[in-house]
Amino acid sequence: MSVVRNRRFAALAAVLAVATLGACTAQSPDASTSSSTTTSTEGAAPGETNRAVFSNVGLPSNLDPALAASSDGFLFVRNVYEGLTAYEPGTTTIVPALATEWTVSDDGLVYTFTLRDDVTYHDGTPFTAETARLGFERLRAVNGAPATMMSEIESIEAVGEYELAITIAAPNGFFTGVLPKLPLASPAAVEANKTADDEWATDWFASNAAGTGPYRLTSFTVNQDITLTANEDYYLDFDPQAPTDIVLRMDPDVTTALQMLGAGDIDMLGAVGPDDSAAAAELDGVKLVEQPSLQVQTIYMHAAKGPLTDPRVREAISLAFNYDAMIDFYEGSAVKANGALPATFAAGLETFDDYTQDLDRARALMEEAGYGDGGLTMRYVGIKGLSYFEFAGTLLADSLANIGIEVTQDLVPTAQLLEAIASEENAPEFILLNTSPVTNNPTAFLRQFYVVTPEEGGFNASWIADDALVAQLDKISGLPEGAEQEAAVLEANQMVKDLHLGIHIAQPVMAQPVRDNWDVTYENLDYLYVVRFFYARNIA
Amino acid sequence: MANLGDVVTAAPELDPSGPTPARRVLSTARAVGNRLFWLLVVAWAAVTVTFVLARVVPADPARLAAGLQAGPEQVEALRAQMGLDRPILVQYLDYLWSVVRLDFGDSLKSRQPVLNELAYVLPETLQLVLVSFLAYAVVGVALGVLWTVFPRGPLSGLIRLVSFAGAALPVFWLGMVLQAYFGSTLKILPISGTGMSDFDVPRVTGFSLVDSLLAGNFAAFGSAAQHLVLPALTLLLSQLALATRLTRVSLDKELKKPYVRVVQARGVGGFGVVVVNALRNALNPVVTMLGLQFGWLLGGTIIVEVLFSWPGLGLYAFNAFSSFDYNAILAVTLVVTVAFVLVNELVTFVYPLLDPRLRGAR
Repeated sequence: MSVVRNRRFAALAAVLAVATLGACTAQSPDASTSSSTTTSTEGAAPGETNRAVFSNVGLPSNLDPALAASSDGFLFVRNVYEGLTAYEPGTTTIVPALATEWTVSDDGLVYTFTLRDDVTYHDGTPFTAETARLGFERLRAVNGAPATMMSEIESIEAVGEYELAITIAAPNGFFTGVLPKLPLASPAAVEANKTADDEWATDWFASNAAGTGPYRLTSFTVNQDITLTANEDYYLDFDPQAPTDIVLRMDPDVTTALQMLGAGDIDMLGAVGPDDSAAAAELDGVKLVEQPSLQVQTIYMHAAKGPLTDPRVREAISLAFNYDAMIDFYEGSAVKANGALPATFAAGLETFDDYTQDLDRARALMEEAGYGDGGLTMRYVGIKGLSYFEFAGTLLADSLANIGIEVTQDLVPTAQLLEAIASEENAPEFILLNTSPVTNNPTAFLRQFYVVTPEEGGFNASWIADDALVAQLDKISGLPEGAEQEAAVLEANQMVKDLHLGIHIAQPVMAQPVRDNWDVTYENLDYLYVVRFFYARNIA
Repeated sequence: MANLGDVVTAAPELDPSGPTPARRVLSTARAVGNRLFWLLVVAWAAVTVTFVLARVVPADPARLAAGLQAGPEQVEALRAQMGLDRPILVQYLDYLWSVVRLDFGDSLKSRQPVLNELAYVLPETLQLVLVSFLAYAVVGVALGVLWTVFPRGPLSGLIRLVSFAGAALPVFWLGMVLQAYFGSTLKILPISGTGMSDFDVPRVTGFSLVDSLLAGNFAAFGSAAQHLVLPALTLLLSQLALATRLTRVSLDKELKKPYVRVVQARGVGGFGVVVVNALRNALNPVVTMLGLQFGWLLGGTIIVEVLFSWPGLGLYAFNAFSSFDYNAILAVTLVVTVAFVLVNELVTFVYPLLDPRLRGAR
């Protein structure tokens, strides 16, 4: 190739490169100036017709509320179905829903609910105590994830047309916190669509819906979108600013979704990490909805293996970790954890001290435990591709080098993380898990993450269950709501801290990007990426 | 599959007496049977390898499908329901037998028949692939012709730059730049999706362009067409270098042949020589390569479909891999393998259309 042609080629390449860079760094204009092309192909622009478009990395491929097990399923279920009680949006406070009030027997075992008498399912059939009972029966029979929450329910009886009695196996002051997670479907729809091989109409519910919720299913296109419209027969009045049409769409690539958010083609996003939230905040017309999350990121220590069986070693490791560096990594998207329970989960938890690094004390403990010379090697397992998992592992290795522990890292795909802790024998010394409650019950949370091992169906990757902790959790369950219960919860939290079963490295602050004409709250008991649109407000 | 060298360079010897009709039918039947046999062998091998690999990877699909909240009894119940508690060999043989009956089982994630889901997503990918492939074939060959006719100069440089840049750049980056430029900056094309959400078009064929025309909904047709542009353009640009370059090389080779000199001696030059006389003879290797690429495209659209939220086979496969949905993974593997082999077999029927010497050859 001649010199002249070389230069022309290089010049052309430079021009194309500049044009490309220009495209990459261009900011999106305001939603009000969105092009007619995008708005015409995507329907009316958000904000003009009270339509909300929510983008998530995944959508349920099965709409059956009895099978919903993750945030993409909950996003649909929480808007179309309801339980006897509900959580106040974005909180852990229980409020009435399909039940208006309830009483508890003296022994704490029988809950009698008075139900609303003005509710109909989306198929027009009335909601009664008997239909509610059948709704519970369907959940148990289909035996999906929601059925797990029914394990303490011994019997359900319709004692009146609008009176339902639920008997539980043992007293549980937090029982009503389970009910929002038990969505009730229309028994008439089951009856109309069941077959000889499908007694509970699971095939029909896979792509249809018959709940009592504020929104009805309008259309469902697998791997594409779900559209909902306001239930005109809903028993509560819609606020004029609440959306009347919802589009739940799947955009598996977050970058694409952010572009669409910036262009005004979507209103809200789910499943956005701190890196992407920061980028989204720079877009015109976009704001971050910041809420304290109820997640605590914990690096579990395998307390049944090798040196980690010694609580002094575990405490030393907890003291050696560089908590400040972990928080710095998040650049404002996380705060320090101060215990196993999230600080905002229950009253009094905020009084616990944050974790801080203390290398001198850590070395002293290692010396006391007989490992003053170090020479230990341990393994950390995290999820590949998630920056905070990788950083946490690197930081752990760097921190523990100060006390003579070498940490090797294994980063695995998400689907294999649970396999890494499937058996006590093969589980690593360290594994990072996002601990997150699904109800307002601290005992259920502590039991799942610090008592029940993975082999038994829990996530206690420390592999030991302290008898005193178990006894304390049993005690809390039997206490009625009040000061004594609160004090007992704080005591349990302190017990977990003192056991040093894990390094509580951070409590993320949720920051989800939404168009700035929307006021929304994300549900932090549904893995964070769920919005109940009935409570959303278009303030444009 | 025909050997490229045999097809391009060797003129087959013809039996002077010619085959009888009966012999021709028998020969064809034998050839078809042979190809079908190897198709089955390849499909079986692909499914077997995928089956083994899926089970070697340490992950529990029953646990994933049941969800994090599920208890051990529910996970075991689901495992039994999925048949995953049986010995591996039993699962394998049972699966092979069900595939023969075109029963791919239920998706572990959705609990719905995989065949139904495939039938839903396949047309979306076919539409995208057909549109981009047709455009790619036309543009690639056209650019190769232009490059041959104008081997030097700015046009040649531009063709080289565009085609090689498309091949060198990662396809996801290419797609993102197109989205950013045409979608976010110029705002003349939509960024993602199929554009059918806001139209009530009955699903007949699953091809949004066809269904919208059948419904007489031209607004929907326009929306579907607009939404196809960027993903199809991404696929086209990422593949362009191959067709362009191969057309150029093949034409260069063809233009050195004596008959071309004869044509040129008669005063025909430039486009006339290349397009009218040489191109058809030069297309055999290009056709072979196009066939290979079409097959590749059917299974290689994962990145583009994820990036553009295109609800086709690629996105379905991505979700299946993410959730270790065994049945869906195996079904996708089988479909892509069979499609790849079938397309390449079909390509061999194109050769005689281009080269009369191959018609009636033994």
